[in-house]
Amino acid sequence: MVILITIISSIVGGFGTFLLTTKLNWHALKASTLLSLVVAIPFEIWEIKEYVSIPFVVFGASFIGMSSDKIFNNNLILIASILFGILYTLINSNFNGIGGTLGTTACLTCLTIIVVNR
Amino acid sequence: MNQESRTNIIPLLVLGSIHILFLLYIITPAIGWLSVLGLIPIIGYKHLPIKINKLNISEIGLDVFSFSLGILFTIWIIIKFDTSPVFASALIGSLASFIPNTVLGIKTKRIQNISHAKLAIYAGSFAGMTGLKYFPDILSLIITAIIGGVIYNLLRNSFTGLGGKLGSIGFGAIILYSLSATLLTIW
Repeated sequence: MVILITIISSIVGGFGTFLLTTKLNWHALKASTLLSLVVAIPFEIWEIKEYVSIPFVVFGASFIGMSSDKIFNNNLILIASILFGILYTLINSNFNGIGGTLGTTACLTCLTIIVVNR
Repeated sequence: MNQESRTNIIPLLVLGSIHILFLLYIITPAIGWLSVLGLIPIIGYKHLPIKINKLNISEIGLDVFSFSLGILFTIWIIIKFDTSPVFASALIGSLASFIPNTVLGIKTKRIQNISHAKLAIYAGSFAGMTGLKYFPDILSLIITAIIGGVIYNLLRNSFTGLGGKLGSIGFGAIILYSLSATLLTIW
């Protein structure tokens, strides 16, 4: 159940950000930050202990969505988001609160998709 | 190998080092020897634009300043309002994203730097998500901001369009500061 919620959150973050940049022509920075902020606000207001990792996953996956549409298409972003969700589940306990770990995971995920796709 | 391709190796080495440190310190403790698979994505670098940014002191200064703004304000929000790191970083990034890129519709080279400054603020906010855990004093914050700003400047024109580049810069700043601080302590 936890992995399913993580993957769904990852798709929301990655695919959502990509759609905001490609369909609505938002700047990647605005798309990633506003989507993450909208998801994070309810978790700041209410104590939702069971699903506390959702904002982290959406935030991390939103970096995948910041990728250029010259390199990625909708399908590749979807696959990258699913892969990010799986990787997050495997390694998030080792992040140790160090900043940039979500972004680096997203970066390695994007590079994996590039390697596999070429 | 000509002069240009030699200098273009610098961004490659910088991002490569950050990713290898990530594999060593974050991935290996989680999945052991399987983390070797994490070297495969590095092959993907060759499919992305790599171009060294020409040395420009004012640009480096702006990147360091912007990166430090990102770190400081993110840490301040986390401590002052007791928020989650995600909320603090997303808030700082959102505020930065509303800084206009043009002044009176004019888009000059200097104004183009504003666009980079906004991204450097966002990269700094990732480093700031660490909170005060790895920063014992203000000097450690300043050193991390300088490292982060310089890394951002080196990667400015490289790996464009690759998601997670800014996060890698934030992580690189933290891990390089921690490693250098540890080495200095041992010395």
